Amino acid sequence: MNSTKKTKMGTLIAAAVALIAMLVLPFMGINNYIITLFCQAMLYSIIVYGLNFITGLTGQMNMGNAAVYGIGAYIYALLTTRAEMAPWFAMIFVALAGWFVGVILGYPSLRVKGVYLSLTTIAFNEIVRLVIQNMRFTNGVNGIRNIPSLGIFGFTFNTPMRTYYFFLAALVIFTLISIRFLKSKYGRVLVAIRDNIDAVESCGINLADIKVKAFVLSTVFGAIAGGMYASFMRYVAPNTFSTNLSISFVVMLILGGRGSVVGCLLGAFIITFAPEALRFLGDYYQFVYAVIVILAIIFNPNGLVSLGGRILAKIKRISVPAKRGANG
Amino acid sequence: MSGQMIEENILEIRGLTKSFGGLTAVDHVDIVVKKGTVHSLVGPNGAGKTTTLSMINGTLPATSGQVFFDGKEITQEKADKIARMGIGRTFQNIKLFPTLTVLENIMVGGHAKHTKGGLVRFLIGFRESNHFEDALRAEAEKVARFAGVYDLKDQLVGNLPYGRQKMTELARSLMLQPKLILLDEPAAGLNPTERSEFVDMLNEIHQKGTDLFLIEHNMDVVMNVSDSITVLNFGKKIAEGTPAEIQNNPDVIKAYLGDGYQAIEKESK
Amino acid sequence: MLTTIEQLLVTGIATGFLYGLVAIEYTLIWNACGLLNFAHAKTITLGAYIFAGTFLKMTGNLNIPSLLGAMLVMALFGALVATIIYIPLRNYARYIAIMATVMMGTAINEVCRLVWGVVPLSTQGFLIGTVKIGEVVVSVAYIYIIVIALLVNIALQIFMKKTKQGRAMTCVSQNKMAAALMGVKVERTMVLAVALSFAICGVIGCLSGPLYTVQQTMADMLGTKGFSAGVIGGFGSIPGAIVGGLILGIVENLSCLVVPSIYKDVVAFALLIIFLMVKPEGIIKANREHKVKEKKKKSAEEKV
Repeated sequence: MNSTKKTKMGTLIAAAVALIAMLVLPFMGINNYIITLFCQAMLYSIIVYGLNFITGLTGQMNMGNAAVYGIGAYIYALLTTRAEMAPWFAMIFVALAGWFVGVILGYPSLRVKGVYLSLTTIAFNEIVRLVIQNMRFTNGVNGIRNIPSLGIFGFTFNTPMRTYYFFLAALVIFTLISIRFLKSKYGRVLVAIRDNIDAVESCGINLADIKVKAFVLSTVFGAIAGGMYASFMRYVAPNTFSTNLSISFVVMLILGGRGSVVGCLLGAFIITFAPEALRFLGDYYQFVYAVIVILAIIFNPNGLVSLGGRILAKIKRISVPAKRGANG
Repeated sequence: MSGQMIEENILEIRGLTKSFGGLTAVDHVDIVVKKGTVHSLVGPNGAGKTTTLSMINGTLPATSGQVFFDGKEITQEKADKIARMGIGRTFQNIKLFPTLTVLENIMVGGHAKHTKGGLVRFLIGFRESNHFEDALRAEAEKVARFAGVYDLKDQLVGNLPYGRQKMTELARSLMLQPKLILLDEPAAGLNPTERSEFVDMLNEIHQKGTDLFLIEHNMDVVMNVSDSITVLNFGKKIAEGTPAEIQNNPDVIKAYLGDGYQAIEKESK
Repeated sequence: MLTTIEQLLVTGIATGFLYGLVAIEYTLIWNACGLLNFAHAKTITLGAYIFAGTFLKMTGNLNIPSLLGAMLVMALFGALVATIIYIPLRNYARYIAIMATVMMGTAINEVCRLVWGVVPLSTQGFLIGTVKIGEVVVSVAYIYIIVIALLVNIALQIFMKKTKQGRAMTCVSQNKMAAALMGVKVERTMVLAVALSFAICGVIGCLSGPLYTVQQTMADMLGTKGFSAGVIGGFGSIPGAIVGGLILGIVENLSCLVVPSIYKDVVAFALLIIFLMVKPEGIIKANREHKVKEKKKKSAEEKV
């Protein structure tokens, strides 16, 4: 009983420290480019939270997240530029769009198992990207410019610093939502599905229902992140939302460790900052990056969080059953 | 075949059949389980017992035949709906969730009964969902105490010894307050002490009003708990009756031991 | 008008066979390992680069030896990949090993870029030229593609049915545990399957060189469409791979008659999604593995 309380205290303290660090960071004399990278990482964290619900927990491979991200971004862009809608109002529609996409895709995705799902989501990603690219309505390859940013009470989030704090606030909110979801009956059921799907129905749980709910949550997260992206960059183009980006999201999840919020954050931040950290490699950067990720996957398939878990367990001297999710 | 079942029965199987292509695993089996009884399904390896059980609880679709439970036909229903109607299940090789704690495993068993409301309500209605969660946890703790695993409740279930895992699985199946529990070889892999503990627990559950339907190989357990027994061989029912009747049934003996053996008079309890 | 349809048909059939070959190579890995090589597009590209960039130059444009050399190198590389990626990760959730192959694809892409540069290579007179069959102009490369695809198919069928290693591979694809119990060295079979698959990728790379010119992005679409071909034809079936490829090739090319050709790729993906929704087992239900697995699972549950 005491050790759980200690762990809870420890986690809260760590979270508080991290938050304070994030709050003072922009004043530590770093340039705007790095601040922008942080904004990017925070945005990606939100998307990976969503991906975690569906891929991290049930093992259903979703390679179409970039498309949802793109849809959110484009809806925000189109509504604020063409329809001249107020930014926050547009965001409501973005969230609705996310929900809608989730429902439309969620039910069919149930009928598609395992590997087929990864193929379907790739196809979906490509179709969305190609359609956006070739439609005149979305301005094709050129994208949409001069997108108005979000703001409150006349204070617009249109500089890197302002966007940073706005995104930080959003990240905190999404983190709290994710933690709440994971600790709830939903989170429990998703872990149960990963551990032993055969038994879950015999417990009276409607699998389809929970899977679609997780799917919808993930698309809402992704779409809102897309809207935030459009507000921040003020420019959207189809090339951004490629299958490669979808793949990056999954890499972030695997690297950090599925099932946990901390894992998502770690993965998102590490992958976002990797290009900077490895910049000294020049032309060899991509190759080294790929090799490092391959090695990380082979030696630590359950992510950094599980590594931390194993170390922590050794300290506490308890053993942890191997997280070999049989539901790939 | 009529579409009604008799009042006094909790479970009825009529002409239940399962074929996989050319292989008939279960061949037109009829079983009746009266309310307030414990019924066992026995038979040699490969007789079709687990297949029958899986068809009853809906995890395997029947090729033909009917299943009736508590007044309703449940033949083509989905497994989760059947569970909610009041049929619990334990599995031959224990299907628990190893990365969840004992208490969490048991709580999953109670999700369908103790939680209401959709995702939006959950995200917005803090107090309500916390209230449900607390109620679920309290109920799970009660059941854990009953099954004797309360002291292990925060342990990851994957770390527990086999006997404790079986108890946890049983506890999980109790959360839905089932009228009938289907048990697949509950005594398998238990040592004599654990076995008698398990049997006591089953008897207690039965006293409290839940009927039991077991597949079991261990004859001590079968003879001790059952009110009636059905014997299957090669997918067909070859005998049915009270434990005493079955023990002396020549067909049963032949099925298990072959032609060379005969029934001997046993001391009845 | 007629010539156009016939032209489209010919292109459709040829690219269809190419898709079919791609589907065959990934089906081999799927059947033996239960995993997909998501980097097969880059693997094909690597094959093309090894062929055109190294062997052709080394041997002064000797086509057949270069082709064989490329196949051999690819096979060895495949064995390496199987040992360091597929085997260690085979017990974890499927998507983890798949992601490792995706990253491997990036690594291969970079290697091609660093070693052979960004300027597209030519295949120096390998399979150039056209033939006229009746009214239709057919590229020589197409004919070779069709012939080789059929040869590979036949060779594989013979291998799988008549040789010891091949039969072992069939066993492993149907039931790993039973195969292992019967003394089949499952891991060795997995390595062999991957090596074979990579060798076929090498062949595909050589064949697509004349069509797409040898550059880093040459096989990207081919890879994704190859997946589609396998699904349409029957996931896990080798004859299904050819059937699926043909259907895909013909439909996507004929669609140019009704839809602007920039949407050709959209048609291909839409076809994939339709099949995945409506008939995921594909045309040829060679999901023997799944059926037998179901049966075995059920009978295993019955037994004690």
